[in-house]
Amino acid sequence: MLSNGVIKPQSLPELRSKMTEYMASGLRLGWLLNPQDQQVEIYCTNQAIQLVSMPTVLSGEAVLPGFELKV
Amino acid sequence: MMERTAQRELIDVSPVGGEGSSREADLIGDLIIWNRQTQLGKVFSSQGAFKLPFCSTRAADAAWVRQERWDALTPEQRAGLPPHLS
Repeated sequence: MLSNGVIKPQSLPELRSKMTEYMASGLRLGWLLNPQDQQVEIYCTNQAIQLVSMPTVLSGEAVLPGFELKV
Repeated sequence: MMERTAQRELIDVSPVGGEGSSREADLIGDLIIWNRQTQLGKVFSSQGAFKLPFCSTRAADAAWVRQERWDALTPEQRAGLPPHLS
């Protein structure tokens, strides 16, 4: 975020807002990895946002069939 | 790397340090391996920005678009900032 010429890194609320924007734009599946808090937020169409602790294995579900991501 | 929000603000989304960058590379690598086996779509790196319907331009650390969605774009759309995500 540019504020009076100072560049700041994106906060978690900002990143969550971006994920929500993606979902509203037609994204079917998205993962927000939060290594600082060892958590992953799973954004999936027509589902509530799921919060999962790391380490875990994320599934591509019906969107990326057969895809698994170890985080 | 800059993004533009729907409110027309410019945001710096410059990448992280070594650990974050390595994590990102691993993720894209896994996605590429899976996509080469299944041939279902196209993988995009963190340098790829997408135009979203709310007039914002956004990039993800890794993105994947179904092949039929990509095929539906014109050559001009593919060369520029592709609209929408899948």
